[in-house]
Amino acid sequence: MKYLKIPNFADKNILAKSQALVKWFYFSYLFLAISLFESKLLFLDRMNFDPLWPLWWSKPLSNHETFIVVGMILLIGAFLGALFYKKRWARFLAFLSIFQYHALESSFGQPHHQTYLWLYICLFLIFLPNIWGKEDNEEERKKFNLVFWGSQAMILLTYSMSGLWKIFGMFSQLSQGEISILSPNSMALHIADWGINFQTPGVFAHFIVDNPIIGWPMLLFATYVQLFALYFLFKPNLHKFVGLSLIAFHLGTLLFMQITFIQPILILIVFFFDSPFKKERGSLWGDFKTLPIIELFFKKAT
Amino acid sequence: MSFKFYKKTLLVVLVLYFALGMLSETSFNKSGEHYPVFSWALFGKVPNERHKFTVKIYKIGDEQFTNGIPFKDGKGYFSTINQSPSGYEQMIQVMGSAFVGDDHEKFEETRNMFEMNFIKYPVEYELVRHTFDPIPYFRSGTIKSEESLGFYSVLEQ
Repeated sequence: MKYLKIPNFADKNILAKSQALVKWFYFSYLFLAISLFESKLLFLDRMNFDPLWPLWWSKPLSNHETFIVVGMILLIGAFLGALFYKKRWARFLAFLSIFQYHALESSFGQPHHQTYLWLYICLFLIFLPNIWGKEDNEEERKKFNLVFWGSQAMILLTYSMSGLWKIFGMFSQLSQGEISILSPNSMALHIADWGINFQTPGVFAHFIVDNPIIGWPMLLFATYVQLFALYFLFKPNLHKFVGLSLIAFHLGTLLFMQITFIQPILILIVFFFDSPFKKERGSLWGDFKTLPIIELFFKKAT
Repeated sequence: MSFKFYKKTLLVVLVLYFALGMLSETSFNKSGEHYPVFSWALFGKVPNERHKFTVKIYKIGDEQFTNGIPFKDGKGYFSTINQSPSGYEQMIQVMGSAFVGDDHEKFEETRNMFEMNFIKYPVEYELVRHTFDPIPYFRSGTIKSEESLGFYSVLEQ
């Protein structure tokens, strides 16, 4: 536990940065909402629509009417969030809007992974205290920074869960004598298997399938970063590293598997590129020495 | 509400989210989702030898295909294929699993849904099960074996 750093939530500098990032979060949400509306709802003519419970009100409406209503809720909530993000009611409506959109997208037989993080973060940010103009109040300052930090925790925990399943999978496959993530062919197998289901595999899919040894370290690195994602929360100077690594992972799924995960990338940029909790800039070597597992070797050496 | 209350609540929410996410993949919900919580068990296992159900099309309207064309290659005929490859793929897998599991009700339900959502022509098709290794299948479509599960016709809808 001695390696885990809990920030000083009362810090005024942290608060100023957190406030700025909350603003950018809601501005980004407006951009996201418009792009979702433009790219999905206007062309949504899928028929296997089986509404989830948050869309209980849609029963008397046709599918098309439901899509239009949800589209409108999405846009209105996002606009209000961007304009009045300091007000709790506006943040609540922004949450409601992504909740409705997310439920709609998930009502076609499978979860909509791409906007899950937006749903959770919009929920968390509802609980920000009203501190704008009252920054001297220490108790409120601590609460504000904690909610921001908690949002970072939620994002990273989600990735850690994904990493954990990969490790469970590895042990399960090793115990059954199957090819696991420890095989140099593992990334090529993932890409080939996924590519079979799509008419257009990722642009570099064939390259990795033909050169499995190039893809394997990428899969191991992605698993490492995902598994320890939550641990990075307590390493503020590595927030940019974890953000960049997870973006690289999403870019990889696009290039190799044609899986688009643009939406979480925007969240990673807002929450981790200029984290309010990072300390004075250290050296790259100094930061490297604090990476999970690697830090154990350096601690031993000193 | 005090800062202390916020801290405790945050911890409880994160622990609950983690626990429910993990449970969503295991005991009480096989789908990996207990809305709005998902397990995030994505690409957890490396694909080894695979069994996959496929639909092969033999006739669309007046046009015949002697050897059958895989459904996914029929996007010139079925515009709905473009909407969501994972959508119809999943439906075909559920349909095949219900067939081999002797779940006739589920099979008929999924078959009707598949035909209603993805097939708009008078069509003759076959449901087959392929066994293959992913890499040779991806490179050249090579399969180890093919097992026919049945032939079906769809009249004009």
